[in-house]
Amino acid sequence: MNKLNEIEGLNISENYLVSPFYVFFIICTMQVGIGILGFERYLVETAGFDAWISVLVAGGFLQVLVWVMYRLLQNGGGDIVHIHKQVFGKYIGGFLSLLFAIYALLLAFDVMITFIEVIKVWMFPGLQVWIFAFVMIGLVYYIVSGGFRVLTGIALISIVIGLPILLLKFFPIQAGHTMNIYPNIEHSPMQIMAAAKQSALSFLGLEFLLIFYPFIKDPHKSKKWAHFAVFYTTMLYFISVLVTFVYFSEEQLKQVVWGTISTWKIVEFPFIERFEYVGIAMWLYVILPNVCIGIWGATRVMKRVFPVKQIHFLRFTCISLFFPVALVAGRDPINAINNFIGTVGFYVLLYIPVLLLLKTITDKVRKRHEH
Amino acid sequence: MNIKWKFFVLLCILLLSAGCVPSKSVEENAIVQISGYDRGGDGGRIKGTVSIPQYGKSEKKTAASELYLTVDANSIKDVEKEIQKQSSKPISIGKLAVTLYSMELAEEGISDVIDVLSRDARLSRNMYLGVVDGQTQDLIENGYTQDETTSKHLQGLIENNIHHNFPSTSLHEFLYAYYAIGMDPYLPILAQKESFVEISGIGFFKKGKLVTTLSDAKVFTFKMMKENFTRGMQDLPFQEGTIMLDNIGSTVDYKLTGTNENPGLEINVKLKSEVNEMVGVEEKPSPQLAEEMEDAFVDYFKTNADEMIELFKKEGIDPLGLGHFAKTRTRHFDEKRWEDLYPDMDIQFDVDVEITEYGIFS
Repeated sequence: MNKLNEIEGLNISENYLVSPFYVFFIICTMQVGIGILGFERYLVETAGFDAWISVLVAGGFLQVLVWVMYRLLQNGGGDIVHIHKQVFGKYIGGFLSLLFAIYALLLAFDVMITFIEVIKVWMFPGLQVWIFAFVMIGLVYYIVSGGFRVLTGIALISIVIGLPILLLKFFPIQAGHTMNIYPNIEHSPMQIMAAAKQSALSFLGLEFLLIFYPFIKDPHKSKKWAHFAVFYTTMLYFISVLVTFVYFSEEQLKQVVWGTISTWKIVEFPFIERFEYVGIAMWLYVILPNVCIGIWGATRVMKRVFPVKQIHFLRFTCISLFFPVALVAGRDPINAINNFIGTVGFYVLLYIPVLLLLKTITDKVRKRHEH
Repeated sequence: MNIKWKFFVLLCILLLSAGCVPSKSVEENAIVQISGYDRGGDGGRIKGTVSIPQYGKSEKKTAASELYLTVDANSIKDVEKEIQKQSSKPISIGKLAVTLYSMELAEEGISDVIDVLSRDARLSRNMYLGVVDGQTQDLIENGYTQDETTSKHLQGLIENNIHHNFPSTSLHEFLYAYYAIGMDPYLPILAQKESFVEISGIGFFKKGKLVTTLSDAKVFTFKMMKENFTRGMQDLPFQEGTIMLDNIGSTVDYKLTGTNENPGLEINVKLKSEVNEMVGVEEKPSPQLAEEMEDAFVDYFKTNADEMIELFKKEGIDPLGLGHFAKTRTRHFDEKRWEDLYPDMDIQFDVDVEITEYGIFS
């Protein structure tokens, strides 16, 4: 029997669970989203062409973080709401869980507005944002109301559809100057670490494991898949960074807002002159699970805190997300929101090891009291 | 939700998505494929000329016809606006393949034009830029062939030459060099002869301003110093006649020499080639003759290259990207100091010509 089933509220019947293998897709798809389209520029501003090291450093930290999360969850945790309750008690714990839910919503919100901005700048300047937002949120509502298994399916599709886009890296490499990344490590370790922090926004997403953990069948078996997923995204980002570095000169890249989309611009096939149109359209599938899992995670946490059905929360959040998504526009506000969420996300990631520490301490104290 | 409802929702989504932006069909657009800019007269700062191919409604294939529009404007975007006034169809610039600037304009600086090109998401990065010796308006409005539009013709002209004697060029490469530290961009120079147009040389830029040019005869040497390539031809007077060298593989290698305080550079070229024309050369092909020819070519390339390097030093430009190369080989590269040292830098050029074949007739 599943040990988690003993915890109240985490009693999930087996036909809602997913195989441990799918953790790979869920974490990957959550990590790869809107950040990869334009994160190069921010890295270059801090660490120049040494920023590829930053990506690897960030990837290394995330591996540690995965270990921390499994440690946290396996010690009879279940999910973040339960852990919060154990560590901080009902009220403070509930409040912190709600903050986590708001963070998940912000993430979904950020992905949506950034993607809509990309569509407006690159394809259709005259896009009616509210219609698009309406259709997109409708789709998200439809998927999320299908439950966690449907979300997993969407995550799988997203990864499979996103894969061929990787092949396009061939074109910029062909036109590239491979010597560009030399000499290595010209920037100070502090600058490289700062750039690693900068890449946080693009790496966000794996913390959702704290929410969907109870939905994994044989959760201890999923550990290696989570590590694989983080490794895969790190490599993906590493390759993307290297390709944009050889394609652009350093000063040029500092002025390119969306590095990865700009490298698609030279892809030309006889049947299509501008590949970025196809790329951006396909990217909808890549970001769709980000929005879905973000909203699902937020509503799931709310449901665990308050005794109300998840579907009510879902309807409420979808409606309340619609207006800000339809109204926010322009490079500057969106950039500010991106930076804000990047910073918040960075602290959320930092908070997880702290939580583990607190939990270990409270467990010890409790044990001593019992004796 | 039952299945009917789901179907209904899906249908709504499909219909709504299709209605998000206004659609335009190809025939109803004026597709600009080439644009040229001259210095303006009284009407504005610059004069823009575009050509728009006209597609007939009938099925039968007719000669390619084009519509030429010329306007005076104050900025590049203004040109688009002014042209819109003269056009019966909405202007679409997504297919723009060639952009030309007159020599006058290029000498004054085309930085603001470059900014527009790099900012506009609709434009291709594979677009060709060029400098026109003369007026771009005349060059564009002079039809060249019966079955090709001017834009296709010029695009083909530059593309074909990139595969032969001319070093590779495109909007992306121009921007790369324009922004890079220790590298300056160059563009082809087009000139109109009686009824055709030809690439007559190469123009070098410094911070968006055309500073010097090089004639067509020396382009081969420049390309040899700039990149590896496998085609291209170079002629040379030899004995009483002319010999023609056919490149079958040339590789170039830069090397940083000297100390950190006093850097120098070595450019080494290895050229494998065939000689396919020996007009007026009396001797039969033999190893000795090959050696003589090789020496003649080495001399020729060396003099040319040294002259070119002197020219670059004098003008303070670096189209070869030597500074860019040095930056990748030096820790804490000091751009200012490099620029100060550049005019007096010791730059050695060495070429090794190997002639392997003489064709199928001896």
